[in-house]
Amino acid sequence: MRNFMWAMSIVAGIGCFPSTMVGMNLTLINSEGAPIEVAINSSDKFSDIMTSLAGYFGENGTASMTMLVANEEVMIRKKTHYRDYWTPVTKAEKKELYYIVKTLARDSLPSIGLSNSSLNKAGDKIVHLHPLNFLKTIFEDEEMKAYAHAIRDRGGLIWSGFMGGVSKSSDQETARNNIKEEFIEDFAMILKIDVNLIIPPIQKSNWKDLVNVLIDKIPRANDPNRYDM
Amino acid sequence: MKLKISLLSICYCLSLFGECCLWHSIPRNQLYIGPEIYQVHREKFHREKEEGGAQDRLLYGSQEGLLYGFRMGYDRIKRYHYYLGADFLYATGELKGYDLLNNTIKSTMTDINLEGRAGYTIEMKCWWQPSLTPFVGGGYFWESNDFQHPSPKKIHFQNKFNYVTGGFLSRLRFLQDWTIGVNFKLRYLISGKIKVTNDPNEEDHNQTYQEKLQYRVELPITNYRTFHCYECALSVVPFYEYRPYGRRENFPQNFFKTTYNIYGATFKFMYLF
Repeated sequence: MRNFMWAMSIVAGIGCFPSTMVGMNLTLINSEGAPIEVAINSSDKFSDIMTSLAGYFGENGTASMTMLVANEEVMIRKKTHYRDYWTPVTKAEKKELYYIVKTLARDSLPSIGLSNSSLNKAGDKIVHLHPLNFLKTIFEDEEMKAYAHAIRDRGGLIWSGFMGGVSKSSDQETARNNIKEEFIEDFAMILKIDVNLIIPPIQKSNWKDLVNVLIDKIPRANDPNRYDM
Repeated sequence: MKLKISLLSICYCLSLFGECCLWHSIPRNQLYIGPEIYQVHREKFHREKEEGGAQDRLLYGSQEGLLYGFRMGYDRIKRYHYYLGADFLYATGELKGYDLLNNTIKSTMTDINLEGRAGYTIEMKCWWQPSLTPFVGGGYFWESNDFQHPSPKKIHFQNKFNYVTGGFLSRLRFLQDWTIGVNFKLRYLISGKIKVTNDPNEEDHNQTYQEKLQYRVELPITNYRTFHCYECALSVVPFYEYRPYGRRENFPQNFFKTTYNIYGATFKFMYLF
């Protein structure tokens, strides 16, 4: 497995400890199930702890880790100069992506205008996603797949805005030679689409054609045309 | 001879125009209520890709029926003064027709509309006292269509939207107690949503559609009377309204392009003060 995901769980619940405590041990459990003890002093700042953890995982060559705090998943990524296709999309990232796609597909133009800043914020949170990973997340999900159709049908600023984001990250990764054949094959296999349909637009860096192929060729799971009355 | 007739006609018209200037003005405040009845022709379109076919197939379904209810409202129209207006509509009726697969369908449709307007009135004092009142405003529309037996799917649709509106009212006093006019109104939908309920296969959910411009044209004919010292008027307002909703892919079910062509009339009993 390319990316090395760490699951970190706080064995001792922080919330159970009084504020006067002098320190605690944090048990990290890596993806192989091995525990790693980390001592935390009460004087330690959160940022210091995170820096030392990032250093530890950096030394071990990890791309990312997942930390569970009070049942909430927090993704801590090692900084990279490229977008990693193999890094899975977290629930939080999927939520941001869902918000963007749903807003663009369903909201009225004035409402989208009012949501502009929150859309930008959500976009900033997923800007590190590999473009194929981004598209894979959309077209794997039935609801987001329908919204992709709606965004294209709405056309104009909404479609061009959406495609602008996809094209920008795709062009950047193409320049870094980071849209590799193995990624494309995996992408096509997961989305159950003929790889020969998506290779030509990717080779030509024609991202609009690529998204059009995905919209046209990946069928929706259930018949969405029941309301025919 | 022809010259004489022309001169006499001009003189007659001038004397009439002069007389128009002496007509007392129509009271500024109008409070009204009355029945509204209209014929609805609802159409649904869907372009379907035929398997192996070179061309798309256009599916078409339609419903027709009469809706009746009432409209009440208030208008303040005064020469070279601001204009204020508001009205409320409630109408309901049955629509019958067939769906995209030619099945017979029947539904109960209800329209509820609340609207407020503000503008300014420009009016000539002489001649037929023509007046023009451009306005802007906003409103809320609630339109339900509940399908019932013998429709194959007895699903209920509640379409709700806010809108901004703009247009004009006009009036021409062609006789002392009679006016005629043309009113035009455009609606720009802001946030249209259809709540879908009563579908046994899906949970209740909301659909959205492509918001399109809607418009309404009215031709009011009004007769002013005095009744027991109260100034009143009776008005017949034939109208045409076009309500389109554009197609949009939705989850779990898509919304097909739907248009309403509406012809009808409002009968207004007006109290003027």
